[in-house]
Amino acid sequence: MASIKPLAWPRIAWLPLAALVFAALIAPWLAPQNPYDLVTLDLLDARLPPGSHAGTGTLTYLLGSDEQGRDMLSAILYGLRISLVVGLAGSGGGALLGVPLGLIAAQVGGRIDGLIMRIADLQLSFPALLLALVLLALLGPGLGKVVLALIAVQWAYFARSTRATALVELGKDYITAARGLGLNPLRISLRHILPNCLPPLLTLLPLQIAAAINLEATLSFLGLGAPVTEPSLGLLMANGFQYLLAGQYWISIYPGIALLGTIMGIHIATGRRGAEYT
Amino acid sequence: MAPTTSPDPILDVRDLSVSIGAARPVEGIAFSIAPGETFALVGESGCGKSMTALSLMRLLPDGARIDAGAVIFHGNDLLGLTEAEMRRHRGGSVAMIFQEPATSLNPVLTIGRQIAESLALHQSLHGAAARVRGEELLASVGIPDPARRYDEYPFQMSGGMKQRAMIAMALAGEPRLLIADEPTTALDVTIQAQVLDLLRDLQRRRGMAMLLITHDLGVVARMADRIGVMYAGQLVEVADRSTFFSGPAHPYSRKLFEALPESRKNGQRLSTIPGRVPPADTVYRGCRFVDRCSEAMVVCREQLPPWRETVGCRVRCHLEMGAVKAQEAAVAEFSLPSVPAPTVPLLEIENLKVHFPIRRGLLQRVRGHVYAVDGVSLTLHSGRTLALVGESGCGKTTVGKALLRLIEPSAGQVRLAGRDLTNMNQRQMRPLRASMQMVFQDPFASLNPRMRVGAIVAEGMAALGLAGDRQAAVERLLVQVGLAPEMAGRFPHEFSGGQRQRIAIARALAVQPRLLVCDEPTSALDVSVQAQILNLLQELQRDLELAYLFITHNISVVEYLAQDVAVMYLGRIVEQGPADEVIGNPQHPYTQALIAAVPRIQGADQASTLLAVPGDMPSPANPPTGCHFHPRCPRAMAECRVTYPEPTRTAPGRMVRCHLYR
Repeated sequence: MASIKPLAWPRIAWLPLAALVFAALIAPWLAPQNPYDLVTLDLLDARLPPGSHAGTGTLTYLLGSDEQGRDMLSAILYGLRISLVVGLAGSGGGALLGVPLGLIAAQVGGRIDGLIMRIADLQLSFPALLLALVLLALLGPGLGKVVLALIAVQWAYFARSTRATALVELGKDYITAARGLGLNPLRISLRHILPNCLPPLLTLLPLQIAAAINLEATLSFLGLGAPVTEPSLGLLMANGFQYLLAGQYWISIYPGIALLGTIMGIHIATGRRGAEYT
Repeated sequence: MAPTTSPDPILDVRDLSVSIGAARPVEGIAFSIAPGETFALVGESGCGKSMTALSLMRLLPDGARIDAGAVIFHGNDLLGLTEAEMRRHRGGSVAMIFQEPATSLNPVLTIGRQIAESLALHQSLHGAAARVRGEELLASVGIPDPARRYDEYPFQMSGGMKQRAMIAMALAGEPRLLIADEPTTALDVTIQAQVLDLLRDLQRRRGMAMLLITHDLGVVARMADRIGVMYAGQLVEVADRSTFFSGPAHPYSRKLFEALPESRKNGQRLSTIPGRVPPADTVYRGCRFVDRCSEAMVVCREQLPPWRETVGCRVRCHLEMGAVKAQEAAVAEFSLPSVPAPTVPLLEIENLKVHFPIRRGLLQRVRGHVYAVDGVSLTLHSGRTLALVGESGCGKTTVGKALLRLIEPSAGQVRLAGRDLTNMNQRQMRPLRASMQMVFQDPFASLNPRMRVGAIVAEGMAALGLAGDRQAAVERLLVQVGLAPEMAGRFPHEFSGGQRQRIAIARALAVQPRLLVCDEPTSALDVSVQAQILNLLQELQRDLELAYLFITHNISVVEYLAQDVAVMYLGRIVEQGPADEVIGNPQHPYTQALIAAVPRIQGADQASTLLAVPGDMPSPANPPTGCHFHPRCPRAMAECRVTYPEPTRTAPGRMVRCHLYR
C-alpha cells in the first residue's frame, strides 16, 4: 500500500542548462574573439595551449587555440549556439510533423493509420545515423540540410507516442460526449485530445532535443554537418582529433566537455518531468 | 449478545487514532468483534472506513501514523508488535480481501502459486502437500474443477471467480479474523449474491470473525450481526442488527436510509444530506455532523456529544433517544407532479443489432462476431423514464451508444420523433444531436480535464449553432443543475464526484435535448449524492418534459425512478413492462434471480438465504444455443436448449421471452 513519493527535484536543476543557454545567447559579447571573422585569426597562434597569450594582441587563449589560431573558448561559445539551434529546430520540426501525423493515425484509424505507422516503422528500423548520412549525401551539406535530416529521423518517435496516448484518450467518455455534441473531428482533435496528450510528449521532447544535438555533433564530426567556416561543437572536436595523440588535447577535449555539459544540463533540468510521468 | 461490547472479543479496538500530517482520517475509534461475529463498518466515502481497516493490519500508506489506541487481537496488542511479528499475523491469523479482485491478484503468477505462497509462509506446507491443500481451498470457495483452475492465471478467470480465489488465498492462513473491504462492490448483483453467501457460509463453518466494510446498507442487512456507522473519522453509532434496521438512532444513519431510492418513495423527492463530508484536517469543537444535521441544536456546536446507551444501541448524539425516534415519521413528503401518460412515442428502437467482428490470425480475417446487441426493440415517450437493466457485459451501454450513433449499429432502426436515424450520415445527424444527449457513468472520465467548466457547457451550443448569449445560458444552466454561476471559471478537478455529474448534466442540457440517455449516472456516487442527482434528474424531467433511457444495474433506482423497464441478458431483452409490475411480479427466471439477488433492507431480520443463480454470464461472442439463459436457469427444459423463445405478451404492456409462458 506504500505510495511512491515523487522524487524531490531541486529547483536549481534548471541552473546548469540556463547558464549554458545564456552563455550561448550572449556569445557575441562574451567571447573574446569572433571566431568566424577570419581576419582576426592569426595562424602563428595555431595550437597554443590553454593560458597562452596571443602573439600580437592582449588576448589570452584561456582554453588554448586551434589549428587556425582560433580562440577555443570563443569557438565553443559560438559552436554551442549552432548545436542548440540545430537541435531545437530538428526536434521541434520533428514534433510539428510527428504529432499531427500521430493524431491523424489515432483518430482516422484504418488504412491511414496503417500507412502512417508503417512509414514510421520503416523509418525507425534504419539506424538514425545511417539515415541522416544517406539524406545528407543526397541533399548535400549545410546546417539547413542537417535540420531536415534530424526532422526525418525524429518525427516517427513523436508520431508513435502521440498515437499511443491519443488512443487511450479516445477511449474516454469525454471524447464520446464531444462526439455526441456533434463537434467536428478537427475540433475534437485540437481541443480535446491534443491537450490531454501533452504530458508524455513533454517528457519525450527534451530527450529528443538531446538526441538531436548529439546526432548533429556526430554528423559534423564526420564532416557532413556544419561548414568549416562556422564550426559546431562536433566539427571542433573533429578538427582537434588528429592532434589528440600529439598531446594537444585541448582542441578536442574542451568542445567535448561543452557538448557533454549541454546534454547533461538538458537531462538534469527536465528529469523532473520524467519523474512525474514515468 | 450485548450490543456494544462482546463478552470475549477476538478483536478489541480501543481509541484508535490515525493522522496524516494535519489530517486526522480516524479519531478515537473503539469497537470489538466476537469470534464468529460479523461487524459492519458503514459510511460514505472519505469517512475513514478503509483507513481503519488498514491500520488494524498496520498497512497504512506512507505518511500516515497511528497516534494513539490499541488493537487487541487475541490478547496481544498488534500495535506493539515488531514488523516481523506483525508479518506473521498478516495473511495468517488476520486476513484481508479487497474491493478490486482484478488488481489485488498478481497477474503474472498462477492462482496456485499465489495460494501456495501463503500456505508456505503461514502453514509451512510445501510441494505436493501445498497443492493438495490449495485445491481443497479452491473447492471450498466454490470454484469448479479446482485441479485445473489451480494452474490458471488471473486473466483466465471472471471477476467473481477472481474474488473467490482471493477469498481462498485469505483462507490459506486459517484466519481467525477476516477483514473484507467492500468485497462485492466491483461485482454484478447475481455474482455479489454468490460471494456474500459464500462468505457467510465459510464464516459459519470456521467460526471466523469478520470485519465487513461497505457503503451498501443492503449488504449490511444481509451479512452483519452488529453495525458501526462512521462519519468524518469517528464512530457515531454502534448497534445490533435488529435495532439498527428497525430504526437507526443517529441523524446521519437515518439520513443514509432516507436517501435510498425505493419503490415506496416513488413520486417523492429523496431526502438528501446537504453539504459534504468535511475535509479530514477540520478541527471540531462539537458534533462532526452538525453542519449537515437537520436537528442541530446550539449544544451540538459547543460540545462533543456523549455516548448514550440504550438496549441494543450506542449513539453519539445530543438528542434524546425518544426524540430521535419520534422524528422518524417526519420524512419529507414533498411529492412530485405525476407522470404524463404515454402519447406519441419519442423514440422507437426496432430490432437494433450491434455485432462487433472478431479478427484473428495472420490476415486478420473475421472469424466471428461479438453479439453485443442482438435484436433489441424499445419504445420511449416524452416525460417518461424507461430503465434498461442488466448486468455488466449484457450490452445495455452499447444500446445507448448505438442509438445515438456513437457506435454504428449493424442492423435495425432507430426513430426519433418519427425520423429514422440509422440511414443518416454523420452530417445529417448533426442537427439531430441536439435532441438527444448522454450522461455517463464516471464523472471523472466524462469531462475534459483541461477545459474550464464554462467552456465544457458552452461547447455543445457552439457546435450545434444555438443562438443567443452563451455566457448567460451557461450561468442559467449551472444554476439549473444546482451549481453556482461563478463556478464556470473552474476546472473539473476542483469539483466532487456529485458536482462533476451535475456539470455533465448541464453540458447535456445545454443543447436543449428531448431525450437523455443516462448510463449508470449514479453508480460511482455515494448514496446521499445519488439521492441529490436522482432528485435533480426528476425535477428536470418534469420541467423540461425530458425522456430518459436510464441504463442501470441498480434495481432500487429502477423502482424509484422508472415507469417502464426492460431487462437485458446477453444482448437481448428478456422481459419488458411497467416497472412496478415487472419488479413486483417478475416472470422470466433471470429477472426473478436478478431481483432476488439484490440485497434488501426490508425483511433483513429473517436473514434469508436468497436464491442465487449459479455460474457466470457466458461470452456474447459465443452465446449458448437456444435460450441464452438456460445453462444458469433453475427451470430449464429440453426445449430451452434448442430454440430461443419468441416474445409472449403475458399482460397488457408486458412481454417476456421464455418457454414457460407459451
